[in-house]
Amino acid sequence: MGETLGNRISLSEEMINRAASQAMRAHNSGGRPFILDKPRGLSVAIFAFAGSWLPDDWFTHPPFGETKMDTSTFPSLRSVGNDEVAVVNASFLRRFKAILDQLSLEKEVRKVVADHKQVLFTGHSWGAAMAILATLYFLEKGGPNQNPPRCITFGSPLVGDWIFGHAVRREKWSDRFIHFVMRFDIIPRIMLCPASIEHQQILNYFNPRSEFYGKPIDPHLAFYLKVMRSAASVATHDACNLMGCTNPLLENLRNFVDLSPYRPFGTFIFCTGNGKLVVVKNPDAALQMLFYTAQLSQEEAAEIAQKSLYEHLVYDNELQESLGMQNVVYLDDSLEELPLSSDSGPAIVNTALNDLGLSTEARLCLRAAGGLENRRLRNQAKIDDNKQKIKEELSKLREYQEMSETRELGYYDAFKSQDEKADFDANVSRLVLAGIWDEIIEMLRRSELPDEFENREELIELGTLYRRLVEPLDIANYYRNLKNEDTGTYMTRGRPKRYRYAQRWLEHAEKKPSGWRSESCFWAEVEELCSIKTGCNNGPLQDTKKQKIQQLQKRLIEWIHDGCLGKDVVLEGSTFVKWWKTLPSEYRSEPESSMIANLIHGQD
Amino acid sequence: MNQAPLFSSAGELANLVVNSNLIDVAWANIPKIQIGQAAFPCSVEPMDYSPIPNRTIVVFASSPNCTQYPLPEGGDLVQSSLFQFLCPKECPSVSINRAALDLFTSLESQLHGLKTKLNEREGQLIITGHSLGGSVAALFTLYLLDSMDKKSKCRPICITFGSPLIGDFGLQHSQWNSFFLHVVSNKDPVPGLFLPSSRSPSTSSHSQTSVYKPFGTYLLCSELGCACFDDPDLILKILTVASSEVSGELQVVDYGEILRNLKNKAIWKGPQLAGERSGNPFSDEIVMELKTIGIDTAKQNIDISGMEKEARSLTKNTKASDAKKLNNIKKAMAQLEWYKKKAEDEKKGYYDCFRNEEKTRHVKVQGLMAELTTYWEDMVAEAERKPQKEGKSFRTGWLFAGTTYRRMVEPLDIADFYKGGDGRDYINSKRSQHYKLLEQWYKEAAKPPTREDLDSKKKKVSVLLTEDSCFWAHVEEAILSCQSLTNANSTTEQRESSWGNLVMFGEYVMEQIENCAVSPEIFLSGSSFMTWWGEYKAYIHNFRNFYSSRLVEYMKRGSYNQYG
Repeated sequence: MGETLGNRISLSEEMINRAASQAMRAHNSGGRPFILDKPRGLSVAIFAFAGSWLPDDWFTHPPFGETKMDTSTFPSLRSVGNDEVAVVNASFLRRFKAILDQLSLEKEVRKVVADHKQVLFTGHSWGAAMAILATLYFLEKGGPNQNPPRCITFGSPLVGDWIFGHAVRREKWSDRFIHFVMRFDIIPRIMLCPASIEHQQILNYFNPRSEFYGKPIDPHLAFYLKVMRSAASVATHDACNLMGCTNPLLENLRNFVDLSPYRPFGTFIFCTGNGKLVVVKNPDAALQMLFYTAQLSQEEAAEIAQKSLYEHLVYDNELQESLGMQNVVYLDDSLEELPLSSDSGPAIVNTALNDLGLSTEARLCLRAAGGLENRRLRNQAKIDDNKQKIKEELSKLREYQEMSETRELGYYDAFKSQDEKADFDANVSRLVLAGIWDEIIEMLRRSELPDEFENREELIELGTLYRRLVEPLDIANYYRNLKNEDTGTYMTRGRPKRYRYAQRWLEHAEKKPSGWRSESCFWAEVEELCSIKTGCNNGPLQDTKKQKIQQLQKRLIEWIHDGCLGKDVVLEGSTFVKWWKTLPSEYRSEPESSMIANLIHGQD
Repeated sequence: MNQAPLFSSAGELANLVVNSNLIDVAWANIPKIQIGQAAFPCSVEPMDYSPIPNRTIVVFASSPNCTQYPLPEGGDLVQSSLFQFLCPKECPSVSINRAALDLFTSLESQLHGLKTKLNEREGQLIITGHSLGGSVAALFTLYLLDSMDKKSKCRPICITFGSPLIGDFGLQHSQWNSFFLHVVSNKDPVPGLFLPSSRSPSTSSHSQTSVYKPFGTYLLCSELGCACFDDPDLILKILTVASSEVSGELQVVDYGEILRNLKNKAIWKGPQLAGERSGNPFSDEIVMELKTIGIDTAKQNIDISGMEKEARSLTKNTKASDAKKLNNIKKAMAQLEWYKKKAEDEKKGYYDCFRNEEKTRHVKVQGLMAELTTYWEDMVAEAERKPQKEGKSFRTGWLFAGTTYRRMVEPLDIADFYKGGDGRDYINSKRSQHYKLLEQWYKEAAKPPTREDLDSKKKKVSVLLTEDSCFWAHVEEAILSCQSLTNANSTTEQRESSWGNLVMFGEYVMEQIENCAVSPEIFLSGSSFMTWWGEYKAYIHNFRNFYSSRLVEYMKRGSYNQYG
């Protein structure tokens, strides 16, 4: 036998078993929010979170109890370019923040880190949701040299939406999360179903304090069918998208069908129930598996419904057995080539798929999930091929920038004049680049690029270079054609998405607030300030203008010193200098004013 | 690069539809009402149900008798002025099944009131009906969609159960397809009633029946399961096969029972098929899906590779490539702008530069023109293919870019036309249709200018393009008129008409100048307009010394030096 599961996910089997027993123990501990276990001989500290069966801790409001992620505590949990905040279960978030407020968690974690031990968060059921949020919280806070925390969950409910998972993958945190799911366990599917009576029944069944604790649910199938029907809706909806469905009805259906926002993320390990383990990381595939592995056949229905409750409580024993057997299949390796029929393809894969009860239909969906991911990778490769082209055009423009300084006008004004062949050539370069970048942005908007795409240093750098060099030309073009008069200002109406995205990439990478890196819009601000008439004193307009001008002068100096704004700005013939010289003295403030004067005269 | 694998999501989409409560909700009210309906002849009553807030359900029920025998003698197609709005410009008429149309017309005043009421509603709107009731529901939905604007907060969907086909291909082009879902059982003879091979009671006019075309999405179901398709030809084929296999007797199909069965099927485990598959997920899947709804692909000779090709072309036609095309077009426009700028530097102007261009540069500019023209002809044609209202909203996004294109490129077409010296009357004999439409749409969309507009225009007239893209055609005609006046061979009548044309031309130009609608480049010394003025001035001087007009004064005084 080759690599063990433990090697592959770099967590020893011993640690996983320990986590499982701690998670189960903590779940029933009651009272304390978590228990801390530092097993002798293992360089790990296990934080296991307690569980809860109170309906309020699962759903705050129907149908799905979701809320926008708190981005001050979790700044990374959003999409960067598209700028959408992730959605998370509101009850989970609220309860986690309450735990955080008690301070003991942060204190204990700091101690463990000081001891150079691996921090491992774990939890079973509701506790798993707490473990996930805790892991994310410390990943967000983590310093560069710190060993990032790990997270193992057992029978975890889904916690966040697609953007939530996308952000985790983008930050390359996905491998930190391992979720074990028993084939029929109902809890990992429960968040796909809107709050309902059936929901309540399931929680009551597990709740030791409920009068229905452990009693057969009546009617015995309804709760299971309800969850499965909701899971089926989400799975088939996503499958349509994975398969590239072109039927226009799909879009209209969204107005009529209430789908759960929650989606899986991290590494899922499905336990077949007979000792085998199936590992899948692809989040779309994991969702399809959540539905299809628990699909029932008419004959076994009653038995499976019972199993769906029972299996939620057997993780520790089941894992002890499966981890001993090491019969593990990694689906991501061959998702797109998955055997479609029950008797073809590699035997080990097929046996596992058969043991999970995956029909041909299910296998097609898994293939489609793999296909989409491969398509995203191909798109990324295509963009990488274009990098050279981008660099060529940028270097042409840099030459143009240098050359136009000799014209005493500066880059911006030379381009705005469109007087010489060089100006025209620069315009063509601008358009060629716009074409390439617009295509990238369009792909991002339609999620046709890998999740990590926006976190690639090379892209952020290239995007920043591009933005600083070319956006002034777009602004020049905008004001040259007087588009501000009938369309509105550049910043509100004219700024292309490609620059907005590139700015957000940089701001996110530098952990800076939104708007921090707006140096490439310098000229748009100058143009707008130029168009407000000076002269008539008083009035709020003049006050805000004064503020804006002083702000602009300050930032101009910063930007020039940082080298993110070219010195061509302060050439004698530039729009900026011409305008700046006309400013009445009350608009200037020291020391900025004399610093700018020095810059204009070529001194630093 | 490998071709990306393709999937058919017909089964998944169908399961999504079935798992949502949408069709159950739609169906739930139908049987109750049907019982209450009067017997033959058929009547259809719209009823309005809203069990939950923000959801309105309109049910069209026909009498039980009529549901079973939906007026077989009404199977012919008739044109209808009521639904004229559906027609794209290139297909002048739409034909509707007579039985459905008659019913609709008989209810029109009532439906008009309902339409007004619904237009004020917000939220979900489900319009449904069974059999012929479904046909009327579909017609009513079209009627309603036409009256709704894009901002409407009402989101409609029309769900029919076992309805016969309602019209010809005039219905197909619409983006409104997304609003229609037709549920059809393979045991139901009614949907195939007007198809030629149907074994149902003979229809009155078989000659016409073949032009019936389905539109919208069909949820086709059998005892084994269901699948959703929206390819009209495939649906037609499936309906034909199904209706030929239904027993001769017409029987009532209980859609309630069918839905219950489908709902179970949708979450119960599907088969784990054994044996080698073809390895192509698309064909494997589609064979499976068609089998589910009772179609044997091998026996019925269904062209799966053709379907695959079609599906592939649909997925390829994505927005990203649109963005790319648009950027190429912008590039070509920038090049033309540069050419124009160079031409002004040469003191000839854009128009005349091109008219007198030496060969190599001429060919290059013609390449750009061809690229731009192909693109815009396509855009115009696409807008033309859509129903009127939809076409309008489709084109508003790019109409201004199209106008810039027209003003940049049409003068070059005019130059090419008059260049050889034989061209006469460009506007009526040669002007391309797409320019005419672009101009017409622009005029429909443009607001009348205010005083302030004119003032701001004056300031920037130097960067504006000449608004009337046919301006140079008028100039060319004026030059021809001048020649005819001085030509010794001209008859008196010809001279008179030429003179009349010139007077009109003078007024036209003056109006353009006053509205700041011409670019100052027309006054460049080498331009055709100045050539015309030279000839015209000489003619007046020699033959009509006392004649004057506002334009003559304007030009003589040299006021044009202050223009722009």
